[in-house]
Amino acid sequence: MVPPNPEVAAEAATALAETIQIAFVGTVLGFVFALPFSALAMRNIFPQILTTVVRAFFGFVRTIPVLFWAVFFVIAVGLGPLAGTLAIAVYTFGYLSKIYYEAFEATDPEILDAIRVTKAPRILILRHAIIPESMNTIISQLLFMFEYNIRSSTVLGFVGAGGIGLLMISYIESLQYSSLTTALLFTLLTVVAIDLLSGYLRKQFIPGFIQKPK
Amino acid sequence: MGTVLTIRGLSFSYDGRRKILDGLDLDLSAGETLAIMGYSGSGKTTLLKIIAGLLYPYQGTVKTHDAKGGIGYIPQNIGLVKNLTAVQNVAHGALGRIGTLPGLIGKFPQEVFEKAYQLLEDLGLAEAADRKAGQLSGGERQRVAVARALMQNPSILLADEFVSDLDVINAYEVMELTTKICRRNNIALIMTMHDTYLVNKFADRVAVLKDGKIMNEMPGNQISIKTLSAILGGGPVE
Repeated sequence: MVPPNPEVAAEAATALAETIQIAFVGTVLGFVFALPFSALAMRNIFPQILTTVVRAFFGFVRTIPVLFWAVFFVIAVGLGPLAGTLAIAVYTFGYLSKIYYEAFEATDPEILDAIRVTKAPRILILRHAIIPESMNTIISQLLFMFEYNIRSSTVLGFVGAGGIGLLMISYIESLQYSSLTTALLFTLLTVVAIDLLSGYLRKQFIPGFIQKPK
Repeated sequence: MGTVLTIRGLSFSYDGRRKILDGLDLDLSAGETLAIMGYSGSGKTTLLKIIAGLLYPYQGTVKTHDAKGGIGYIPQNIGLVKNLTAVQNVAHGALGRIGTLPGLIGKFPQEVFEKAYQLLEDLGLAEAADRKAGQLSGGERQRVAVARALMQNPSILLADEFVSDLDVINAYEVMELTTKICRRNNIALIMTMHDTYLVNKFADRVAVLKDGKIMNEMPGNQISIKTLSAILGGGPVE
């Protein structure tokens, strides 16, 4: 496996870019659906019959591992990055929905009381009080999910769902272990870079971090 | 002064067994400042929440007259959204009347923000209007909560121990400003309080709550710790 094969660097970088795209688009798609749907699971806002059904659905989505979702979408839409993106989106949806409705339910009840007396519709209470109050959790969990999905997307290629995993499996099958090391090194560097970027974004956007005086 | 609130035979229980309120009667006039006193756990917050329409079901009648602007409510722990600015929190008082679609896209009418800034100015907070609520001091947060409740153009303002966490100077200032604005706009104010000095100074009338009922009512300037303990302890009232 040592030394790494520099000749496959361009190929590995292209595949890695696809992995990042899968993780990014999948995370954004999952987030866009998770945010409104998680609100429907809030027991302090919506009737219990609705919240029970919605929570059961989230539980079902979350129970199935991302690799199984990838196999399902490879069968449904064929080999390639679209299957990987959809698998990441569905898994992200299931995970973020649970984290978000728990954060939403923890909103100070006095904030809700002060706005309920205005007779504002529930959706406006969500939009103007619950979401802003939960913004720290929303951002930090979204960043965590993106980091996690970068790693997940790498593995998804093993079942044909695109990205650098697909390249790695082809190196293993053709016994090109030096090339595999190159792909692994690129993946490691990317994960470290995303970790650093995510830490920087947290410091910039999430209150509570002590900023050094300029 | 016309009556803005009539309560008759109000009873309420959280668990169906112990009655927190038990056949309570109360009337309130427009522009009047009423202080409700009593031990912790005597049902003061419960009474305010029922009047605000936040707790039900209950027995008896709670009738508001001429409450066109509705009822404003300042919770005990203020309840501001910390990640939003003071003026955005004040604008929340208008959420019930701006419509769902404009509210969803965050398009508040210009007059809402004009009024929000005006209210903050009236309460001495013009400079803090664009600071996040989480960065405000206790006294400033209290004033923002008062402004948010006034944003509703209420006929009745309910304030639940709203100055109890403040130092004496801030508590006095917030009370003075709030009662002044309420009197000027003919808003009836019901506040639950423990501080007999502030009640003495600012309330038109005091109602003492015990065993789920109003045990005694008197003009605000007649209450003292001695009087209050006599009522609550069942001893002779001076």
